Amino acid sequence: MATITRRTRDRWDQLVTAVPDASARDGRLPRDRGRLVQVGVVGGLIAYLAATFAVANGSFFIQNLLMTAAIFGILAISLDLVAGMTGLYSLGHAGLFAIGAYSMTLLNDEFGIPVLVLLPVCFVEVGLVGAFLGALSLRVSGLYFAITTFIFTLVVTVILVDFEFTGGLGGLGGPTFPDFPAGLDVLGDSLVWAVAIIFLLCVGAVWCIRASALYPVLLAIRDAEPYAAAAGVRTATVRIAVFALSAGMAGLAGAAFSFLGFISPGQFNWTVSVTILVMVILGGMNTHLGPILGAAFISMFPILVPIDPFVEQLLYGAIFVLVIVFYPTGFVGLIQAIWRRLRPRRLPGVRAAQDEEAAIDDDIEAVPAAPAEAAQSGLALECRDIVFGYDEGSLALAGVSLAVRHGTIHGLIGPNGSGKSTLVNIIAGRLAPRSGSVTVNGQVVDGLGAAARPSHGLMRTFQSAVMVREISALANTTIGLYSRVPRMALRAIAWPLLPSGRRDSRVMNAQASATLNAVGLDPAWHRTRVADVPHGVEQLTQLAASIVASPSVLILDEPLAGLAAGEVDHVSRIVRDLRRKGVTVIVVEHQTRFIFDVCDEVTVLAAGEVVRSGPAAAVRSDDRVREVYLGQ
Amino acid sequence: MNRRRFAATLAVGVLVLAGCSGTPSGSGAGAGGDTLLLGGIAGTTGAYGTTGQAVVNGTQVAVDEINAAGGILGKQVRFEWEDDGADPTKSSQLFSKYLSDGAIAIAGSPDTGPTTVELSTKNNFPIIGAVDDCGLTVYTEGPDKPPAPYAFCTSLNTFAYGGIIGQHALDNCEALAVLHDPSTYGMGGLYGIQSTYEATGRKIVLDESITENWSTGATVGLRAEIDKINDAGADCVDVWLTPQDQANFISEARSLGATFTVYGNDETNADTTFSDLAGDAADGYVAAEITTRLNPAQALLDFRKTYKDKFKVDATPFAELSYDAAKVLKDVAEKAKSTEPAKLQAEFNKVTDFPGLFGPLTFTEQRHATLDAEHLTIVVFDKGSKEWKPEG
Amino acid sequence: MLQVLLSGLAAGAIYGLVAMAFAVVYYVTRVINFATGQLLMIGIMVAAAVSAAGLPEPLALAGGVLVATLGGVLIYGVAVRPVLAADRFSFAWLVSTLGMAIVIQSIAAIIWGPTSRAFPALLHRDIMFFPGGASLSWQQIAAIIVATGAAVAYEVVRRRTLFGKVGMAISSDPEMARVVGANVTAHSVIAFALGGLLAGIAGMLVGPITYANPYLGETYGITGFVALMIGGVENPIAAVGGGFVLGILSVAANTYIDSQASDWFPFVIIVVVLLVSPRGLFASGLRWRRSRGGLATAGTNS
Repeated sequence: MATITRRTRDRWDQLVTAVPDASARDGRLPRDRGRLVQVGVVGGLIAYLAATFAVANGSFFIQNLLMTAAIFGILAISLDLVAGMTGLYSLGHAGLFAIGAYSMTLLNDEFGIPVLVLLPVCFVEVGLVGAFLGALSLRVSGLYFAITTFIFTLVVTVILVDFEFTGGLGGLGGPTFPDFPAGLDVLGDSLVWAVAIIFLLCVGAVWCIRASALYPVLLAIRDAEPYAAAAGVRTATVRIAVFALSAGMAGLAGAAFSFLGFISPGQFNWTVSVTILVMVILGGMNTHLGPILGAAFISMFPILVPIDPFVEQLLYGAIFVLVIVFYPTGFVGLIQAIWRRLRPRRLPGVRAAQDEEAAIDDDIEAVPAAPAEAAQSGLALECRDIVFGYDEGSLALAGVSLAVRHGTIHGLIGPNGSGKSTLVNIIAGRLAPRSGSVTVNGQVVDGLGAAARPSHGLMRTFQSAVMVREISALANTTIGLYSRVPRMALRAIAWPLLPSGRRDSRVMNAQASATLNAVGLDPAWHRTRVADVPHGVEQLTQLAASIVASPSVLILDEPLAGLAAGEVDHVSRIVRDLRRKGVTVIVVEHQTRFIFDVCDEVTVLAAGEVVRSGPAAAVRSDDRVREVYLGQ
Repeated sequence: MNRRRFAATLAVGVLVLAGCSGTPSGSGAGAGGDTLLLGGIAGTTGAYGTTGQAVVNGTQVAVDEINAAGGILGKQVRFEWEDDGADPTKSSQLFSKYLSDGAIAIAGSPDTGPTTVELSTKNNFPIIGAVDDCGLTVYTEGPDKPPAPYAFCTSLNTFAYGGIIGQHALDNCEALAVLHDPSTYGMGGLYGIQSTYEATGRKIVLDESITENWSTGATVGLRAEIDKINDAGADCVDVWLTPQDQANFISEARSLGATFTVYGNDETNADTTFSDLAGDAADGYVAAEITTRLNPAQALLDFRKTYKDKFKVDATPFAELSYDAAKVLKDVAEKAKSTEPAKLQAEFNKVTDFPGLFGPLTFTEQRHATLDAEHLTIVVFDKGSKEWKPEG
Repeated sequence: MLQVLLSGLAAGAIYGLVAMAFAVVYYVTRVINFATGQLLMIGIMVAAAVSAAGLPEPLALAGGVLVATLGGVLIYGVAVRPVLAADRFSFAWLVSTLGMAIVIQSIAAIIWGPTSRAFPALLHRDIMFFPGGASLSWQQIAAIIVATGAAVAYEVVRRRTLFGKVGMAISSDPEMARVVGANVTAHSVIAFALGGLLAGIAGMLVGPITYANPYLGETYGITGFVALMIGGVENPIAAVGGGFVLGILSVAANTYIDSQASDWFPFVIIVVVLLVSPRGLFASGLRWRRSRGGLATAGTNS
């Protein structure tokens, strides 16, 4: 494993040094704009600290109001991190919030541990609880995940109510946050600074992740899990880690909340979980400001609106309904609508009416070359006696063997149900065979999951392209580089602040852009959302994502599905070009004309067994093949 | 669609503006700098909202009278209150609001008492009136330990009610069972009953803690409790739950043919919620009443008339006792010649025999709840006259 | 023992009806109507008001159920249809139905005030005694019968009628169902009406115990929702089963442990159930049987 990690880093360093000129051409902000962003960030930070200073020296009420809003802001943004980016709708955040608050209070109270020590303790402790909750998502997803975490909150509340040590329904007085030492007391209230810094750290971390190369990967885990796994993402681990981070933030929010004075079970029950989710959705899910706006609105509205309480609640509910019915994306949608009304939007620079044919550039530029290790002789891929069945009865694959030589194009054909897709899934690690062995580039990869295989040089595409529809073709393509970029997930939390992060984003964008050009996609499409592109462009994007990391072995699962005739020729040229670069390509296809035209060797499967394997011409003239497959 | 959305944007905007520019709740003598602010926190919505409303209204009547008589220390008093919806988070936000707006004290809260008590202690800031129903909420460590230093509760006192009900049960029952909610309110009642029992060396035979939801009016199925009471051999039971749960319990028990005597709590007869819901089943139900309320003095009758004229509803003890609290505050501030919290606290601790609507009120360092068991009389519901009548 | 079972079934019948009100709506529209508890409440409030005005009890009950049913349709029209039209997969309905819940509750509180009001006693004071000293009121017996009957009737309609089959089709793929000519809107309206109807009926059955209070909705919304989780959301009949299980567990915990145990004991069971079968109690048997064959393989999908 260590060798692979080192190799990944070495290869990435090579790429980084190899494409500085490419990075200059694309993906880097013009120098003055980069400077502008830096100035903006520093200016924003100064303004934030100045505002904190003003609040810390301001009225007690404003302090309390803003600290409550900030704490719910942390909760909302931490929930948005898991709900918006990874699709885990957690209703467990009130429970996590409670654990943070009660841990801080009880540990400080019972054992006298200083609160500054306890803050990181709460973060880690609740993060671990979150890792456990996140692990539940491996068993259940979607609504069931929401339900399971909902029960978690119920259980936490019941413990708080029914046990002595938590003070029962009456609750507990929170700990006191230590004042600044004498010299620093001009800064004002120390708690305000503490909350402001925690808020800044949490929001900063989430915004960094949103700006990082991990962001498209997280969306892929949410919307297109197999696609992410095929790019080398350990989706389960990443999901659990993201949930743990989110939980840790909720724990910090709870710890900060306990300093506001008083905690009792009613402040952490399931309705609070729902309220946090309402904050996220009402503000605008998966947006920078939405969760914070939602939290501010919900925590401040009842205090700042001094009207008859019954009318106030009616108004509160009516605003929920009106906002969400007319602006399903919440406050952010409403603000955008007003903004558009005030400032008519310029049409984006993309050519408006591009037809699909024009999108694809016939002039194929150089596609990425296979890494040097692929040039060795011998077999690129070998399957030995693969046996697999979906249930106890019939076998989908009954002892299939397959040998693919380096630098060849190998076709895999067979009638529907012959086991082609199953075999591909076994090679790619999505399915584990009952017996048999798979070898890639001379190394046995049995027991490695789908996410571990890209680091062995194996990449694949899927029959019907499933990608993240709300981000650009370019961003989707960068997902393919996941296995090439060292420690991407760990660095994501501070990505745009790290010079290496900014550099890697540039390199990744340049590499992805070059690859999209290489598969012949007009640059005008690169920045278009996948939701808005025609099918052919989507297929090419998927192809680009699978070769952007320069695999040595590439599996294309029905790359021609739904393509027009002209596009088929285009794909043929790309595949041949890949072979020229030393990439071994395995193509699963129904279009026999394409297979026998392009492939060096062909294997025919029928009913889970190999009918014939050999040079394309020989297979084509085989009688049994004609009988079972070509129907002649 | 575009036009509709624009209309919606407008509608939302107008709603928000309407909300923000609404008149502040409560009234006052203008927002000039030369006024004193009295804050109010009470749950005026939720299933239990009438109590909070009574607290607010009673305080308002007192503040109006104080202002008509020249205010406190020559300054007019502004009474501002907000609904806490029985939510501790909101209660604590409101507390900080009044604190930073320079209030001289806060009245309440009857619904989030533990929160306001904790915050009053932390911030050395006086809270007065209906601090929950006194009891364990104010004496957080028990009646023998010092009370919360800044909470001065004039409201009904769970210790006192528990005490007199316990005493009556000692004299009239073979075995007593208690159903109570687990909050400081219910625990306070239980404490009062238990201490009278322990003083004579006897024990209650069944003590069941039932989680209720005061803000949503939840009622659990109480059938299992009725069986448990019968199994425990109790001939009396005290139901220290919400009035609607008490009504449900007595109806259920009577239709199942249970014959035990049922006691209520301080809320049972505070208004007509219980007796309206329970109907005939309430006959013979035992509760306690402030003795002077049975033979009201002229001041109390006057207050009730003013109150009824102003709010179109009958005054409840919560309104009457909250009125007293504001009146005591005026007296204390004028004696202290200051509205500083520490001076107010010192002077509050010296209040002796202040003429309240029900009789003299006294606070000392150790005594932060005005009402005691000796101020109470046992009453029994009579279905004929639909009234609570003194026993005998 | 028998008493625990009977009381549990009686309490569970109410939870089950509310859970079914959730499930019927979810089944067709994939929306959880968070205002379901408030529909139960508004039914109770209207029935109490009609009855207090001196009108006959059957009229009061009919009025309550009718208003709850119409309320369901109103929620669909105002808060759900526009949201689904914008994005069928977003969770925006969570906010809009919760908003409707707050609106309905506030309106009821403004009209009737926060204090509990009397509700007709109906059959609640007539007790039927069983052998061994157990007893139930006729109201409770009616609840058990109605909940069971509603579940059975729903299942028959769903499986045996064209209307039900179209509903199944919409539930699995609304776009495809629309293409083949199903009237998705009509089915959705009817689902919300049915949800309101079931919640209203549950209200009439529980009203004599709870009395009429504008804030009841939250209480029964949550218990119904928990029952839904136990049974599983996929199938309305399972939701009713979940209600019965929750009712029996609560009463058993209350009787054999103590009354506060009825708060936590059911959740302990739910946690165990969900760990064993994440899709709810009544989905588990089927799933387990189905997956037993595939345990030998590591594969999860093809």
